[in-house]
Amino acid sequence: MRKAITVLAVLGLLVFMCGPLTSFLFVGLGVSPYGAFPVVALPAEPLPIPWFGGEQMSNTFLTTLIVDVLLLLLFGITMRYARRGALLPPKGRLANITEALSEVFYNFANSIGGKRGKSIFPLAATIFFLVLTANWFKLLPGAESIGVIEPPHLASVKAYAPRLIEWGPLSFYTLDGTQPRETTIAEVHGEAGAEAEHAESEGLCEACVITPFVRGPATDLNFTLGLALVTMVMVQVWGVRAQGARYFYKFINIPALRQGGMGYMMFLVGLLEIISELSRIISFAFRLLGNIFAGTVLIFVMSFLVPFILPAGFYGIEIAVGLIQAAVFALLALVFISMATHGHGDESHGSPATEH
Amino acid sequence: MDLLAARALGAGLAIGLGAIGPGIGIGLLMLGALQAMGRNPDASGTITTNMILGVAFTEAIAIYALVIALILIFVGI
Repeated sequence: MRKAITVLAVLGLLVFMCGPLTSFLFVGLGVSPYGAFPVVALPAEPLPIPWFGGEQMSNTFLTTLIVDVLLLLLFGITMRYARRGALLPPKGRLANITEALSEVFYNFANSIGGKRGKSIFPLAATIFFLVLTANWFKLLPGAESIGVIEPPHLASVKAYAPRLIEWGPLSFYTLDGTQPRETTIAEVHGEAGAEAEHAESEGLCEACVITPFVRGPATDLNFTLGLALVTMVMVQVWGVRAQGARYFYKFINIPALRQGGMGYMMFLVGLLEIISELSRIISFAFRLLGNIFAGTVLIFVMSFLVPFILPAGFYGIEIAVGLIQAAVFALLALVFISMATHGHGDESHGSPATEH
Repeated sequence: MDLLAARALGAGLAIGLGAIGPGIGIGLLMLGALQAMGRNPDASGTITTNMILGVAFTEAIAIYALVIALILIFVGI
């Protein structure tokens, strides 16, 4: 216990000292301490990695792949220890954490889903662990800051002159933050081709931005919308599986029409249910995107406002937000699925409706 | 007014005004949930679950404002 506290304290101190240390290091290397402001862009940026159909792989997709591999490794190790029955520390400390988290989530799924909790659990837990790992992976040092130097794709972005740093055997480029140059719309759309050729002939661009290799998958709408679509489609699948074709009476309530009077109202409410189902996709996708993207921008801004110590606190907030958003996404998936499996209008509300 | 300036202003107004209602709503939700938990601590598990669900639905309104703001800033008109 005391050892763990010491390790945590040293780690905390290191995190606090990261800002001062790196800026002194850069001053020592003859680079100005002014950092280059990163590009804040909503669409994922393409990396020079060829992908299907001549497209370029985007950096969020690359990160998703890395996170997938990490998750497979993590759960592979956990399964290996679990089969051997060696989950007690110190043998499987990491595996132990994974197992404990899974168990908490499993109990949660059982308490919400009832007897169906067991079958809903895999989807919700997959979403939870994928989103959690993706959110925390982008907080690692080097993520969203190490990447390819290239001319900017967007207009009104601050571009900087590159500068070579030789550090022993290592040599790498950084951006000189002293003289930002705003790109204009004409430059990006009109002269983009010419500038790219120019850069190729020289080997490097004049006014550059950094396209990071690793960017949080949840800052890309494709990732969150994909998860949202999968979840909402699976909600319908579970509804049909539990109630058969009667499930669709939730949307187009034909039995209610026969009752007349209040039944017409019920029919209209059923139609509204379709809209609410569609709006759930939007709110699922944009809740995750909004929170994580806002966190990224917050850390960018805070790092440039107060470079020392303060950003560490915001990293702490981001760790909490990543966990909460992953939990909320998985929790809502669980609740929606268990709501779809319960009969909505027929058994419980059917008889009071006729009384009115 | 410059188009870029108008878009920036519109985005700021959209998210700023759109966050007022959900902010009040989430505050009220939290108030109710905490009072309920204080009166009946045994039921805090189910109360928390339902509270998170309610907060998520309330938050969705703010998210629509955020979508408008993001469209104004990042999507070319």
